[in-house]
Amino acid sequence: MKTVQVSRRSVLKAAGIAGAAAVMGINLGSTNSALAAADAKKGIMSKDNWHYGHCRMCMRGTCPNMYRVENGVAVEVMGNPKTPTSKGALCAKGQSIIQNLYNPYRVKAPMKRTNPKKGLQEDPQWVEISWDEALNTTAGVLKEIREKDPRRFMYSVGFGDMDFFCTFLFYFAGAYGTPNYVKSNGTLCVLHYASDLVQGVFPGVKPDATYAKYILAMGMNLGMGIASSDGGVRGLLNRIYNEKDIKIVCVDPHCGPDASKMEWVPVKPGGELAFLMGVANSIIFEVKKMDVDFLKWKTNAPYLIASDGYYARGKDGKPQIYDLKDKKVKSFDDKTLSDPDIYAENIKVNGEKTKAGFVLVKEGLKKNTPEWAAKISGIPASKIREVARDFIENASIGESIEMVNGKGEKLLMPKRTSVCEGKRGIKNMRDGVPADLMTKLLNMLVGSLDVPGGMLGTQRGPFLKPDEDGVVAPKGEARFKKPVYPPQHVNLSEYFPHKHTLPTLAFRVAADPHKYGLNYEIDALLSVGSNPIASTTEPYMVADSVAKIPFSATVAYHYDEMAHMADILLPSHALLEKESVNSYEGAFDVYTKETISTRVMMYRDPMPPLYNTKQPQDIIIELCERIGMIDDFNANINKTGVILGEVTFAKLDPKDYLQPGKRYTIAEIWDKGVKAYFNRPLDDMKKEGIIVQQMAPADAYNSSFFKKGETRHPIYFERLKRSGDELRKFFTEYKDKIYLPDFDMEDQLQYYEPVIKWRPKDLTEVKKGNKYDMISINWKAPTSPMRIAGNDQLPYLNEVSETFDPTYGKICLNTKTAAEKGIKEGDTIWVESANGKVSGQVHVTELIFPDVVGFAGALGRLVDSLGKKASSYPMYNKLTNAKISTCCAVAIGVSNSVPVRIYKA
Amino acid sequence: MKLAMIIDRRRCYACHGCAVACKVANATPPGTFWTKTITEEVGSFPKAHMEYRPLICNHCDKAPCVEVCPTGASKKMEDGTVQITTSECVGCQLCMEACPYGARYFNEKDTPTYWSEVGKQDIFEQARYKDHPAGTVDKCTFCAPRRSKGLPPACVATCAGVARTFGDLDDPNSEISKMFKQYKPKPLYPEKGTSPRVFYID
Repeated sequence: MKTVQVSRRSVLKAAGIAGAAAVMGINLGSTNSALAAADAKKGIMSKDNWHYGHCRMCMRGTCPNMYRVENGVAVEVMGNPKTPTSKGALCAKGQSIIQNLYNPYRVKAPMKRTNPKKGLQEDPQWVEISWDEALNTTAGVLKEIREKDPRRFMYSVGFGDMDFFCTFLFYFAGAYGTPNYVKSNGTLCVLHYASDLVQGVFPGVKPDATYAKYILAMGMNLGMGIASSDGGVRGLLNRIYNEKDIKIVCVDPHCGPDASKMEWVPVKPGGELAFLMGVANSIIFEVKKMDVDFLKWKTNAPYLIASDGYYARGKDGKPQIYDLKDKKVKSFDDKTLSDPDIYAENIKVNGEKTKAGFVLVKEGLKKNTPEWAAKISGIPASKIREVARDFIENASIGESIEMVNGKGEKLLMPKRTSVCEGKRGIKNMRDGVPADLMTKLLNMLVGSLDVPGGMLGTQRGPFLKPDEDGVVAPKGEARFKKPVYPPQHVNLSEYFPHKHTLPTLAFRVAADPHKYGLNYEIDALLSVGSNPIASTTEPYMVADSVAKIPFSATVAYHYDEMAHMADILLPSHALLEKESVNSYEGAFDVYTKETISTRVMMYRDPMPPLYNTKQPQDIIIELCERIGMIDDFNANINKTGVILGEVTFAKLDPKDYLQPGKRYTIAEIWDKGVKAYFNRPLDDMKKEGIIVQQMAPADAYNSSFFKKGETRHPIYFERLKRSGDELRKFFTEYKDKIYLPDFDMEDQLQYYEPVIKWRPKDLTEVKKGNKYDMISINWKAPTSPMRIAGNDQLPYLNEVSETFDPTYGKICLNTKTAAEKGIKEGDTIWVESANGKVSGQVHVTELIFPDVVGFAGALGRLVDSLGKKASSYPMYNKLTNAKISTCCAVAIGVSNSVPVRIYKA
Repeated sequence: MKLAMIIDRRRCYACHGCAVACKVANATPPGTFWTKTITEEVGSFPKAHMEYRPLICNHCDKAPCVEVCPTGASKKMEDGTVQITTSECVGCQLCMEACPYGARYFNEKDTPTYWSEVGKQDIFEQARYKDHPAGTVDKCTFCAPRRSKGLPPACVATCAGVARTFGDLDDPNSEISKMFKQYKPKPLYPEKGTSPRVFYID
C-alpha cells in the first residue's frame, strides 16, 4: 500500500478531525506545519459570513460564485446572482467546490520523497518537511541548473493550478530562461490555427446566437454537453423554445444533450471533413447561392493565383485582382477597384496565366459531391443537400442591421445568420486543421465572419488587422516561425511552427534528448497544476520519462500521478483558499443577447488555508527569490503585462512597474493589473465580487472596425502552402540529421495546401474483418469534462453521475453492434487499440453510431492515492498515441479517435 | 399561499447542478437525492435522443405520506408545502412506501460520510449532517431554510437552463402563475390522485 505521511498535529487538528485517517501515516516530529495551521485557524474564525468568489471546477472559471463560512467551516456555496452572464447558476461541478476544499486526498504539507525509486507502482514514502526545506531544496537545484544551462530545466504547467488560462506561469519560464515551457493542457486544442489564420483571433471563435438562425455544429457541444452555466445555454434555450427561430444541427457520432435538444445527424468518425466538403460542393454547384459581395470584398477569393500556387504579384509586389468593371488587373488595394472578379480565369499577370483563388477552391471541391461524401461519412446524400440548402436559406444574405458603436455612430452592418463550427470531434484527427478550415470556408460562402449572427472571436474589439497583402494577419499559432536545427525545445517546437502543444512528445524527447538532436539533457522538472501522465496520451511512456529526470518538484493540490513521481511536493491551496481574479470577455460556447456585449471581471476572496499549503503563484514567486531571479521575473511582468483573464492583459504604466529587488505577492501584482485595466483597486472587488462592463453593440463585432476591402479573410489558404513549402525545404536540408520517428515528410506536408483536398486516414480504412474493426470516440461528460479540480475523485460528482448518467464510466456501444458481438448491458469488455487497452462495463445505447466505441468524460487514474473510485474508471487516454504520423498534420494535436477492437473480459 | 414548482423539461440538459446544489444546501448524506434528474433514451438509431425528467417532492395537496404517517410527523403546512418534524419521526418508513414519486429517503447512519475509504467525516459533514439524524426519514422542503432568508430553493437558483420556476400560485402576479396560465403544465402521475404541486412542461 502507498502511504502518505503527514503530521497528525498539523493537519488533523487544523481540520478538527480527531484521530488519523486510515491511509495516513503519522509523523509527530514536525512542528512547522502545526504553527502555520494554528495561524490559519485564527484567520478562519474571522472569515464567517458570505464571501465572493468564482468557480474553477472546469477549465473556464467564468462563473462567479459565493460561499458562506460558519465557525470557520465552508458550509454553503451558490452562484453569484448579480452576475449578468451566469445569473447565479452553477453546474454540479461548481456546486462541488466544498468537496474540493475538504478532499482528504489533498497534499497538506510540504513533503519529500524518501524512496529513490520512482514509478507508478513505487511507494514514494513521503516524509513531511518544512516549507523552508522544500523551497530551498527546489530552488537550490533550479539555481544550479540555471547557472549551468537553463535549458536543462523543464517547466510543465496545466489547468490544475491555473485560475484561468496560463495565469502567471509563463512569466517564470521566461524569467528563468528555459525554452522548455510545456503545457500539459491543450493536447486536444487543434482550434487555434484556423481561427488565427482566418480571423486573426485567439483562442477561437463562437457562433453569435443573438442573431444566428442556423448553426451547423460539428463534433462538439454548444454548452450543454459540458454543463456550462455561464449564460450561453440559457440564451440558446430561449432561442429554441421561446423565440423558436433557430435551427441547430449537431453532426456527431454520439448524441449528447445538445443534439437531443436539436437535430442529431450521426456521422461515422473520420468522415466529418468529407461531409463538410459535400455540403460545400452542394452549395457551390447545386444551390448556387452565396454571399458574392463578401467573397469579393472581404476575402482573398478574387486574388489571382499563379501556376506555382502563390499569389500572382504585380510590379509593386502586391497581389493582383481582375476588375470586371474596366477589365484591368489591379493591385488589391487599388482605389479604382470596382468589381473584383472571383471567377477570373486565364488572366495574364507578368505574362503568365492566372486564376482567381476562388476558381481553384471551386475546382478543388468539384468531385466532392454529396453522393461521394455520403459513402465516407455515413450521412445520406439527401441530408447533405438539405443541410446545404438550409445553410444558404437561413443565411440572410443581403440583409443588414443598424447598430451603434462606442463613438456613438450608427453603423449599417451586414447580418449573416448561418454558421458552421467544429470542435475537437472533427479537429483532433490527422486532417483536423483542414476540417476546421472547411468550417471557415462554409462561413465565408455566406459571409458570416465577425458580423451579427456570424462566427465571432473570443477577443473583442479591433483585434484583427491586415498583413501587407491585405489579408488577415495571424498573430499566434498561424504565424510561421522559421524552423531551426538543432532544436532547442524539448518539445521540438522548431519543427512544428503551428503546434499548440504536444507534451507527450516532449517527455519522449526528454527521455533521450541526444537522439533527437538536443545537445543537453533534462536535469529537473517543475510541474505546476499539470498532469502530462494522465491528461495527455501514452501515460506509461510519460511516467517512465518523468521517472528518469533526476529531480522533480510538483506544486500539488492532491496526490495525483505527477505528485506520485516527484521528489518534492510543494502543496497548493484548494480552490476556495486561492485568491484569484478572472475576466470573462467572450463566450466559450455561444454568444447570446445577454452575453454578447458583456465583460465580467471577477474575484475570489480566499478562505484562510486549512492546511500548511500556499497560493501556487506565491510558491513560484518565492522560488524566484530563492533562485535569485526575482528581477527577471518582475521585468518579465513589466514587459508582458499582468494577465487577468484568458485574453485580458493589463499593460502597466512604467510608473507602476514592479521594482527590481522587491518580491511582490500575486495579490499585489493583480492589484496593479486591475487598477491599470479597470481603474479600480483589488480591495473593491472583495466588497463587490464582480465588475461588469458593457460594450457598445457594434463594437462586439470586429467587422464594424473595417470598411470593405480593408481586411480580407483567406479562403485560399496561401499561407498554409507557404508554411508547407518552407518546412519541406527545411526537412530536406536536414533530412540526414533530424531524428523523428513516425514522421514521413511528404505525408505530413501534403496537408499544407491552399485548397483543402480529401485524403483517407486510418479511421476511414476501418472495416469489418480488420484486426481493429471499430473506432473509439470520447466526449465530455457534464460532471467530468476534463481533468481538473479533482472532478473525477469528488464523491458528489461520482455519485450523481453513476446514479443518473448511464454513460458515466461506462463503455458505450450501439445496440446493433452489441448484438452482433454478443455483448449485453453490464458486460465487462476490453477495448484494445494499437497503443493500449482498457476494460470497463458496457452501456448499450441507440445514441451512438454503429461500430463505434464511446467513452464519456476525462476519467481513470493510474494511482490509487486519489481514492479507489477515481482509479476504477477506464482511462481513455491509454488508447491514443502521440505519433507525429497520426497527429493533426498542421497543429500536431493528438488524434482522439483511433481504430480499436473489443472483446469480452 | 400555494407554493409550487413548474419544471420545463425542455430546458433541462441534465447538468445535475440541481441535485448537487440540493445536497450542499441541505447537506444530505450519501445516497440521498431530494431532487434528481432521470435520463430517458427515446427512439432508435439514427432517430434517437435523450429526454430528461427532473424529480422532486411534489408537496401534494392529498399527500399519501401525510396520511400514512402514524405520528403526525409529516404535515401539510399553511404555505402548502409538506414538511416533516424530525423529532416526531420514528423512522417507520411507511411514508416512503406511500410516496409514488420516490421522494423520501431514510437516514441510516449516525455519522455518514462521502469519504468512506478514509472513514471519517470531513468538517462540512461534521457541521451540517446533524440535521439528518439516523433513524428518521426526510425529503425536499422546497428549501425552507433558504426561503426563510429570502432565497429561492437551491435547485431553482442554480439551474443554468432556467428550467425551474418556483413561487406562489395564489399570487396571480407571480411568475409561476403567469407560466401556469401560459403553458398549462401537467403534474406527474395525476392518476395517483395526490394533487401534486410540481408541474411539468414537456
